[in-house]
Amino acid sequence: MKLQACLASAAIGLALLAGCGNDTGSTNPVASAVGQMAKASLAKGKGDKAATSAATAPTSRQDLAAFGKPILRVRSERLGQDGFLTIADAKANVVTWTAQGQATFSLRDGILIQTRGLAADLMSAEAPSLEQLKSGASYPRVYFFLGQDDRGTRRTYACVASVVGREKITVLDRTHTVTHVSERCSRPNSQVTNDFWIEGKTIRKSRQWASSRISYVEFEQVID
Amino acid sequence: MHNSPRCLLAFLAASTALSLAPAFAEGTGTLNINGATGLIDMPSGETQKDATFSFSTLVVGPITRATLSFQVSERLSGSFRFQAWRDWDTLIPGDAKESDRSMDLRYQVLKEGKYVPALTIGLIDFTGQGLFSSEYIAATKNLGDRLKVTGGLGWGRLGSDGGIGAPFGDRPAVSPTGTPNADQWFRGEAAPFAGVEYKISDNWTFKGEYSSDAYLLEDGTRGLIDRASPFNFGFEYQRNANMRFGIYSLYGSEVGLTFHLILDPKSRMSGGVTGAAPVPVLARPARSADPDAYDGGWVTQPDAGPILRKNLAKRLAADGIAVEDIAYTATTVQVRIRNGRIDAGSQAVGRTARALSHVMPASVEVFEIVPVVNGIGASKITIRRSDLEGLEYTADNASLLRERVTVTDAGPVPAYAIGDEALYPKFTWSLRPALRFSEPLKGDIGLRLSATYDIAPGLILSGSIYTQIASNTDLGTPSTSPLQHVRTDASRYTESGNPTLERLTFAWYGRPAPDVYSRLTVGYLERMHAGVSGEVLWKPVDSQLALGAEINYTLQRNTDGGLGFDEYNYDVVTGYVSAYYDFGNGFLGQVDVGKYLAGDVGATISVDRVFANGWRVGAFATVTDVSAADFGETGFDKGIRFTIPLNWALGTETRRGFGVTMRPGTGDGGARVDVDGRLYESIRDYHTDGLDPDWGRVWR
Repeated sequence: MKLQACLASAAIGLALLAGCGNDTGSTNPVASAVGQMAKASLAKGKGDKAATSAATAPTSRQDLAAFGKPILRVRSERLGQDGFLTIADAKANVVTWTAQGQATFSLRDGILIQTRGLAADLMSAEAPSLEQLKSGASYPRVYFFLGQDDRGTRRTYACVASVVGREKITVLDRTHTVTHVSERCSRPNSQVTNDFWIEGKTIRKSRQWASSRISYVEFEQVID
Repeated sequence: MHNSPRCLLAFLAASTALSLAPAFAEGTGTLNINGATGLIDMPSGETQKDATFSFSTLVVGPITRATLSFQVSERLSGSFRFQAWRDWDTLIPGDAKESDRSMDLRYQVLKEGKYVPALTIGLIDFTGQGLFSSEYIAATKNLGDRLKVTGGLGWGRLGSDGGIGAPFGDRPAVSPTGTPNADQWFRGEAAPFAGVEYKISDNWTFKGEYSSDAYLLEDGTRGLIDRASPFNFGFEYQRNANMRFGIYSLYGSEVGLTFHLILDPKSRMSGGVTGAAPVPVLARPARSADPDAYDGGWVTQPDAGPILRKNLAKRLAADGIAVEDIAYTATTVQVRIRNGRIDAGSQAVGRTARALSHVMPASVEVFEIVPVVNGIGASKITIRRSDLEGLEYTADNASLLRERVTVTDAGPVPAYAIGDEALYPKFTWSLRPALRFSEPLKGDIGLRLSATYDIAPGLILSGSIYTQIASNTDLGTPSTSPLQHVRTDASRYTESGNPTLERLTFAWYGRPAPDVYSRLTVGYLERMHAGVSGEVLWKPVDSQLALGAEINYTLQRNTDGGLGFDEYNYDVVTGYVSAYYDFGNGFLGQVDVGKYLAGDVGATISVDRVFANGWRVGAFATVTDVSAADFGETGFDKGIRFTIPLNWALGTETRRGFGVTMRPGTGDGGARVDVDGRLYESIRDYHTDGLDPDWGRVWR
């Protein structure tokens, strides 16, 4: 048994060690595990200066404004993240925000429709329009994921949007007068509530559900 | 009376068909000390969740047991067990240690209903030496959320204590061992067993049972343990979804400890597909807004091709994808890619399409992506660029894109293709730690130096050398097989060949005709055999059926791992015709008929359950004209095999995995030369049955 235990622990030890060579068949498992952690840190690392400074120091609005580009703050308790994102792509009314290209969030008029690079990603979504949210409409909402064994899977909710009222919110030291809209979605054995704080045609702030594992993500449009 | 067991089976089968009532409670059972779903030593009527793969260990007194179990489908499960007894010579002189390997099958004939219990029929050790041979019917009913009650009737070992008579007649002795002991099934004395399982909290469970196994072998014959009581009880602790521990009072005289590692191949350890986000698709300007952008005049520029190829290669390098070559017209581009890292073909295709949207001029509307494996095109995925642009942010874009994409035969390399001069010839090498199992809990760890020299597309020189670092294997007793020792000298190869030249081959892969693939491999094919191996495979990209033929001429290598053949002076021509069939839902079947290494003639049947993420669990059996007695104590060649992808376990972007094949016993009958790069598995990933299950990853 002792030898077997030795063998087992040695095997595990060796399995953790990466081999060496020049074939690109895989990334180094150890480096990759560390990499995952680094990647998970949405706004760290080299590259975009705005994001770097945002993550490493308490950021003032002036510092962010100095970069001269739109900035979205994203916070997720489950992912343990609080970072600032810049625009990677904009097509019609869909904007894809990114931190270092490792993770992206795509929002249509400020409503989350896709994430990438977060493992339990929201692959696509049939989401309401801004008008539907503001008018207190009822509609189905469909979330698409990669489920068990990476097979495409969907969750359909029946949703009702309702205006909570006018509120004053503060987004990085600036006060905004907004309309708070709450969207309640339900399906058997599951409920999701998304909240939106809307300023004119802009969703200034929101708390939106992305997937079971990621749960809720908070967005704040800091710099337009 | 003779047909009674068959009547019983027929009744059970019929009752399965009738039990259309929806399940009342999700009957997910716990594992017992034998690694099967059950109480402590006794089985139960429940099953594990579909596809559950578990590894269980037990230590009790002088007994060590390790079991691999797999829930093949919702109702069917199987186990492969390895057991060792120490102090085997307590009463009878001989070896101090005895070991045994056995296989079980269980089928749940009834799912639990409001009033109906879950009912399972099982065969334990049905092809081995017969030390555990038993059959049972077990019923389990949940009473509320916490309590489960199980009752059952056992035959064989499970009918050895407290018997109530032999309803289906006497139990005959089985000879030879190793073949299914069908004549014994449900015969002999039957004995009832029962037990309860009480969930104290989310993590803790109490189990108690009345066992019908008298432990005649261990107690009476060998004096290893004292079976003082039929009552066993104990506690189990579920640490998390993957780990469960147990401590038990067994036989009224021993304390047993168990550990279960429970894996769900369907759910990644990382919670999802890891890796960086893709670059967004680059949209072209509207044709009306910028008609000049759509002008195809760029194709006449002499340097356009090399520039496009270089730009594309640069973008795809980030995903571990190499551009073999690129061919284009003003409206169509065909790019042949080699996917080195991404585990899903669909994702590699998606990444390539995204990169093409950035690189190709606006006039190019059709993207043809040809994944290349071993230098030959596996399929051609054709995507319209406007679909890629239009669906990027659409709900359910995966299904919508799939409807618009075609998967066809790869076809030949276009005559005007622009290749990468740096790609061929190319030398790659690696030095990696490796683990080799000779049997459960026995094996060696070492270092493997591998090298590949890609001479031209489809022409590959490759080899590997392995050296041991530590091992707990030994030479064991020499093989007494009356056949040529094509496999049973494995321990001699392990012990005397260090370091060993495992492989040194020159392989030529080709596409002689549409839907037809070919391979010719020459050299040191594996550590025991060298020679020539040729293979042809017919598989249309969207066909569930594939047909193949293989012919090999091999010489048996010396055990020292060197280049010689004089130790055995044995050569043989082997060959097979094969049929492969994809039954859907990940079940692949294969039948090979032909002549095997020891000169025997027969057939192999195998079934594998393949998961989109690369997990694979299967079983195989080969029956040839070698008699059960000549084969050895396990009768004929059979076993299980599984592959766990590193990507699933670690989240690392890699196509590599950890694969193991286990047999109850090794014989020389039904053995095939183990040549690398067999065609079916090489190309299947990029055919529709490989691409479609996780097609959603095209947008990942």
